[in-house]
Amino acid sequence: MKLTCNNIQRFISDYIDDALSSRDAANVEKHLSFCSVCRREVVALKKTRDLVVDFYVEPEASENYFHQFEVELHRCIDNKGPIHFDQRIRTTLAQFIWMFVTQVRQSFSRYSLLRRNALPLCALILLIVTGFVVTHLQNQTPTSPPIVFLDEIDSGKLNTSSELEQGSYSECRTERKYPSGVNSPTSAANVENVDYWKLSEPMTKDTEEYIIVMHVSKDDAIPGDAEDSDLIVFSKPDILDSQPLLQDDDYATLPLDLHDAPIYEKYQLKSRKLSGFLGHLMHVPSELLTIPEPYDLSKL
Amino acid sequence: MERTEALLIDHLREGDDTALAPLVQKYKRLVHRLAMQITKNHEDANDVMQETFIKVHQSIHTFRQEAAFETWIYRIAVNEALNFVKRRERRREIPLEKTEETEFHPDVRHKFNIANDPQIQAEKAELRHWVTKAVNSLSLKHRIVVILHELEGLTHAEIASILNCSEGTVRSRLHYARKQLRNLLKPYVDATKNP
Repeated sequence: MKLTCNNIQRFISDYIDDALSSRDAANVEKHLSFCSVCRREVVALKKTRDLVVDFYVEPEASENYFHQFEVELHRCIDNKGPIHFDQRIRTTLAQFIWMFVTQVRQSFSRYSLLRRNALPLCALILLIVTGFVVTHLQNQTPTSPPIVFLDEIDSGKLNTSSELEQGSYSECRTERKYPSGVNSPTSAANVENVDYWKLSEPMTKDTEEYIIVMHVSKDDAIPGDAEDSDLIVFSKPDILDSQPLLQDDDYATLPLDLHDAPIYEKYQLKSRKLSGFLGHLMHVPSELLTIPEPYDLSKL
Repeated sequence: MERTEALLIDHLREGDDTALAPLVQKYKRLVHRLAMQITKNHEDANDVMQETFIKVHQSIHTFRQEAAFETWIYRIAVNEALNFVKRRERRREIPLEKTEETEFHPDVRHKFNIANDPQIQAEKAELRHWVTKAVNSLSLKHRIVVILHELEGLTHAEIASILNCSEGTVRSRLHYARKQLRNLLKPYVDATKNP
């Protein structure tokens, strides 16, 4: 790692939390020993942290408030009846079976034709049920290529998988090409702290791509804007090995706003039905994404 | 006999509703604190608390004791509070308190000095006011990370698990939030003596 101020800045917060690896911490300390600007930054951030810890006023409530809350909560829970999901399922299933059996009994007593053909009918139903179960089991069997879910990337599950090789590519930069007529907010976006996972198995039948999770940090970003969103990027394998500059044609970015839990859950449910990482990218619902102006969702 | 937390969870899972009360007793302050810090609104905080414990009661069978129960409660409470804030934003009934940066111009450069100051209590109260206001002025996603890390003392990994995002995102947000807070509290940061 080059000991430039720009490189060190992004480690400072972790440094004051003692959350750096011993190698990175040593690099930061080495830099701080000769850079007074970064030293001042460390001191200022430590003071800020201490001010927040010591002087932030936490909201409080009276015992009476909590007592009333508990009474209200228990009243609410008592009114809800059977609460466990499995209990509800069992109740509904029992009701359904009872209705079905009643209907069948009525049909039998009403129609003699049905009574005479009961055996072949039962065999037919059994055949259909068996076919359905077998098909369902076959669908559950894992098939190649492996499916990569964004939630697995985010929760870091891929990090520990033996199939994956994790690395970092801290020098990576992207240059966004803006179409004519579109004013770019910045001429170039510096991408820092790039983690990537290289799959030993290809993600699709034809190509092998990297998944790159980038964390962009820009000083001039608007607060609350996507200044530190995850950018899920896929690109061809030779890009990271050969060149330090990612061109527009080499990758696609999807800044994800994973904060909206209901939408994200909906997306997860939806995406599990698709196969392949590219499939995910193609089918990400637009409400989940904050696509920067130059990127057209349809092109992705 | 006092039941342990694991036992309470088992009993609740088996349908013993009396096991909920001790859990509510234990975690009500934590949930209330989080709900208030995120929603910044008493009514919403009350609703968040209620929804959180109802969800705990209804979904206890989904809790696989891989993570700590406390982390699970954190996750539910944070998600409920976020949903409330988002719904409120959509309704636009009560706009989110957005403190303009220009409001932060407390000129205490020469005034703030903790040592041997006769007005120390008043100054501390003023400092508490500004620090609280600065934290509350952060955007929601940055405020949550500051609350969970600096005030609740959770690790990056725990926060990532609660917010369902990567550890890198948590670190990045924390760094950005601290830089914002440093700018907002600059007069105080500059005024305190170097260690």
